[in-house]
Amino acid sequence: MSPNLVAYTQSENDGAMKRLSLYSGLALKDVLRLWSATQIQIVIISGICLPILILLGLKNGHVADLREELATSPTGRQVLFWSAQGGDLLSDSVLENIKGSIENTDLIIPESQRLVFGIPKPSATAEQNLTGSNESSGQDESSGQGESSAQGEQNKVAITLYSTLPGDPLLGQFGIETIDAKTREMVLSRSVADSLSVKPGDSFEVEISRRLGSDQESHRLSFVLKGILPANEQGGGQGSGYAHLDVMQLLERYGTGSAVDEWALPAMQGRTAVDLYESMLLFCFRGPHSDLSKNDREFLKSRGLTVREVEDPNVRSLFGALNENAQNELVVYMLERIDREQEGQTPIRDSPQLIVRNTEAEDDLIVRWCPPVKRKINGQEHLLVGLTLPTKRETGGWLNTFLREDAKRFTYEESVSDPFALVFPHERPERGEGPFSLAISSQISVVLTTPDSGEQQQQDAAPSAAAAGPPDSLPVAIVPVNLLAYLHQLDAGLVQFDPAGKRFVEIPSELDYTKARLYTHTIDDVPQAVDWLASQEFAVLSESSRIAEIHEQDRSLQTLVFVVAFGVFAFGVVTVFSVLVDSTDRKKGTIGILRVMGISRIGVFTMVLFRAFVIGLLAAGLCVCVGYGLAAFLRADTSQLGLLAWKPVISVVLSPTDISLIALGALLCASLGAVWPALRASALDPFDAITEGQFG
Amino acid sequence: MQSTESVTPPILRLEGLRHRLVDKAKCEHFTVYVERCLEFMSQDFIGLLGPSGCGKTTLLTVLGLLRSPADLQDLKTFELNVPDENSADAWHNIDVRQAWQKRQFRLIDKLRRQHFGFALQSGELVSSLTVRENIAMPLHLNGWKRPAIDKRVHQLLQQFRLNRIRGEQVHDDALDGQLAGSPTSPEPAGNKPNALANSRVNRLSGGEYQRVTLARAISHRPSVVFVDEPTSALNRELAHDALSELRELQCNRARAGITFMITHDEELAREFCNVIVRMAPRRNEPAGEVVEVVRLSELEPDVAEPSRVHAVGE
Repeated sequence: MSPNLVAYTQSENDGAMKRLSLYSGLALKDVLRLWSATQIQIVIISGICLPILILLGLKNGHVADLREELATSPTGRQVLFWSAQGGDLLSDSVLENIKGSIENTDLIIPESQRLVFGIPKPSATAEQNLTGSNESSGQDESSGQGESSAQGEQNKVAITLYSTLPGDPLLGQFGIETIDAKTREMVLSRSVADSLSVKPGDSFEVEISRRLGSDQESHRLSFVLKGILPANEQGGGQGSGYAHLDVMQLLERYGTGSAVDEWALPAMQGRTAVDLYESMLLFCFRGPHSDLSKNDREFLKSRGLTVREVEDPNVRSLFGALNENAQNELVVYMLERIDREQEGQTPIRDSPQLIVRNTEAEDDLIVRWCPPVKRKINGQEHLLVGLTLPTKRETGGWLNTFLREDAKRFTYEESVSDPFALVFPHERPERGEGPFSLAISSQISVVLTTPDSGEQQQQDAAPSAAAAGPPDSLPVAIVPVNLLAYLHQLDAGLVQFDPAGKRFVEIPSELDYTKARLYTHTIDDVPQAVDWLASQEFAVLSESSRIAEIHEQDRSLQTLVFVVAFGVFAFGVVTVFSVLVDSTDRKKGTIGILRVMGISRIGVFTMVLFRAFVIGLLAAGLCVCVGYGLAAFLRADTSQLGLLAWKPVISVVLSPTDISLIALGALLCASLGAVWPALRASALDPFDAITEGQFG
Repeated sequence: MQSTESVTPPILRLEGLRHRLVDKAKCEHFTVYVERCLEFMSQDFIGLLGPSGCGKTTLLTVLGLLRSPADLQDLKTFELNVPDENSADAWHNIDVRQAWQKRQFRLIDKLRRQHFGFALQSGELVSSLTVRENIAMPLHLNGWKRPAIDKRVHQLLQQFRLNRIRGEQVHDDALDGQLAGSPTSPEPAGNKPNALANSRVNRLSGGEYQRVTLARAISHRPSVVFVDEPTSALNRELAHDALSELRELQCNRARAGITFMITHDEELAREFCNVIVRMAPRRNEPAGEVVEVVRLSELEPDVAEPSRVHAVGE
């Protein structure tokens, strides 16, 4: 009988999946049970990936912090600009325009500085000593205080004060975010604060001073210490301080001699406004040689003056001051400016003496003139007429010969010495002697002085046509012409009245600055700010070149990180490759017997690759754990731990993305490094693998 | 009544082999010739004898499907007949020559996995696995189920005396009783944590290592088992015991298997083998050839005929 032979078939899915799980299990057991060899490979791969992880962490942490710090640092974001080249003076409107024109501008602070003196507080010990010594010697405390004050005077601390605004990054970096103008807050450098013995929250006195010509005066103001700038820090230099821009503006105004109502400081003595006149009255005799010639009119025109003969009898008679002879013998001309300079007033700049000296008319005489104004005196509306006649020294004084005996007017000296004087040409004695309160404006009244009342009664005893006055007109009051000029200037908004000094002073003009510091949002916004300011012809100073350097360094750093990561990764693959090649060589016999037992080439390949994958996975886990630990260590503040006090605090931030990247990198590194060894292992001749090529 | 017994084909037949090996590094070559027909029947224990360098191992690699014959055109016959798992009397006939010619490597791997077992000179147990796992490896590779694996492994541990506690000798009757059908049994000693079976192979003595190798070689009941120099790691007595066990397990009437043993030991070969294949170097060329195939005396009368065994040609 022949044997029963049947065909041998091979099923397709011949337990392949089951064997695949077997191969994976073999690989896993190889990893876990041969731990002494495996752990070295895990440590190697982990050690290769760890530097990259830390590098990425440094990039996200320390470097990012540095960049953030730099990007938002006051110095980096600061742009200093001047109107030196051709830029506009930095008024409020110009600064607003600049801020609106440059994107991402946080703040613009006009630069202003002023020297003031801080008055140190007497020390507690010094006070005790003084009090004790005073008690023992029987002196009262005031003399002791006088001594301590004297000491304070001697130890005045010079402070160069700079302007600042709330949100100034220069102060913000030290935690000082706001500063108040109303309470007069001030930030001081450490040296000044120590010298003044003050701490934040304390009040202290500051002496401010001003000088006009030979006149000098000082005042003391109380300030509140807002904060202290650390020593050796930017802005914390010797003897410096910062105050709100509004405070600096008031100090500036004070320095010009003006009054500072906010601080109840009067204008400086002698800081009286100049009286300006829009017109003059020229008196000359009728006649060919006395009257103004054609040349005179030309001359006056060349000086920007119009000439017209006065027709108004009141003006011609100086409101009854001149007699009838003056009407017949004199010609009165009104001189006024041809061109209006500005709204409000067009004063004549030439002096009367200059005009008179240059006219051909003989004995012509000029009287400063202002049109009468209406004001209330003691509540009653009056017509104020300014009559100040020149002295003989000024113009010859021949006009006095045409004055009525009862004419009320002022002389030049009287006007200058006391512009707030008053006489009534038509008043009856029943009016009384005063006091007479002149309403300068709706809010301000001033008491006017009057000449001796007895003389006035005697003068009023002889009624005259001048004294009677027009029956239907306002009562007339005669004041010095300069008072009238001031009233005109007051109405024009060119002067203000200083009640404390009882004088008219100039209204301080809006301060214009020539220099300012601008802060952009980040350093990246600086270049475009610089470009814009330069286009507006401002001189600019910034860190833009340094910022460009930083950007370049940042790009270089990114490239460096990439190159290092790539290099380390490539090195890692090579290392894993060499380690696994060595490992595979050592396992030739095992691989051989597995092949002999029937494991396919794919099976061997799978085992080697899976083993490397598991190693990569474990290496990734180890790398991440060590990375976290190392990052925590680097972040920790160990300055109080003796042996570790040397370690700086370094920010290392491990983001999930970076961790995933590194884990993937470890897996990839292990897997890629294992591909060739796996291929080589799968291609091993089984028997050669066992016998290592020996044949017999 | 017509006999239902079928004829047993030769397990392996090889004729006309000319296998040339080239070592490019040394610029050397060696050729193995098998000009006569080698035909091995079920239960044959074949001894492959010859001096060193005559090509025994090379021939083993070809017979064991580890390498393709170099000159397939000269190869006349290379057949393998293995039992059909699903039928009691059917055999699968595999033309190995054709499989090599068609480069059917998956088939070759499968054949080797299912029907061949190797206990090579260096053993090469998997160092990351325990004794138990090494023995079970071929079973896992062939898709055995877990209970069957456990049972088979226990059987082999017992038969090769690998089931002791380390430092103790424990005779485990429990599973014997189980095998015999007794209902319950205490936990086998081989399952205890400190049992030798659960030890890693690097803790084994030389004799234990060799026995594990042999156990692994036959764990999946292969049709062909190759044993290479069994006495290299064992003394004679231990080798004798191991080979006896191997012969008992592999070449009994219930199994249709053959065993090849490469050895220098003539006495050992005569003691265990019923077929001697003698090789010798060829003259005038670096080659070896089969010079003699001797079938020794018939099987002992007390070894019953297996159901599959019949004389060829009857």
